[in-house]
Amino acid sequence: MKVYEPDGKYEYFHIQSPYIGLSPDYHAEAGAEKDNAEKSYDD
Amino acid sequence: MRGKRRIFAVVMLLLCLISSSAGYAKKSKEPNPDYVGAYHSEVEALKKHIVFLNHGAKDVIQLKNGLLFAFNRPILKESTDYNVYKKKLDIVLIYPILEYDYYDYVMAIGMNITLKNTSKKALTIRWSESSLSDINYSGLPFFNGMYYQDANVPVATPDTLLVPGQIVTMNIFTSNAIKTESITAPIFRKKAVSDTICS
Repeated sequence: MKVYEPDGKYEYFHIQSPYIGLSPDYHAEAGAEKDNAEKSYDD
Repeated sequence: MRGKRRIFAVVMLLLCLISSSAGYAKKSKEPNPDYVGAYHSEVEALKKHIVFLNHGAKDVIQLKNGLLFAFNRPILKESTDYNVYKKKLDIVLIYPILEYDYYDYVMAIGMNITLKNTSKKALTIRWSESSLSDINYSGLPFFNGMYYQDANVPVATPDTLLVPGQIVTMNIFTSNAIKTESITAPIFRKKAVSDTICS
């Protein structure tokens, strides 16, 4: 990314995005659902 | 007379068999829209959980010139078009619909970012002299409001000017995001618009 200042000076910056994937919240919810399903099956 | 009845019965039996097998073939080629729709809603629900993961990279980056760069969320597009898989586009999720040998592909087509100028000078990001890359592609960024044919054209790629203290939130796509016949939102494509029309 090239960023200019008012006096015409510029700098390049390398920016790396974080990885994309399923959120930890989703895994937690899925785990809780599985636990509940197993519990109801045991009952 | 009996012979004619037998022939008639055999013909009717054959007709029944042909019609039932034709019905089966049609079913296997054309999935029930309600059935596929149910899978679409499942994929839509999954998409809400697809986010930037903060493993080793920061969600907010402070540059030394005072510009703050924040990654808010990836912009995703769902498609069942097999071409997105063949062209090795940036797919983040493949969701199988097993009964019909059918797949939903979820692609990252861009990202929503926030920029903040924390310096005392005006800063100009010249996107036309910058590049946005993923594993398969590197080119100029593409923005909302641009014409598809201006993708990757430096003179048509706008700058972003930030006065001191200004905050801007914007969507940013790679410049190979173009419109296709089957997909009506920008997706990652290697081909230019003209190539797609000719093929």
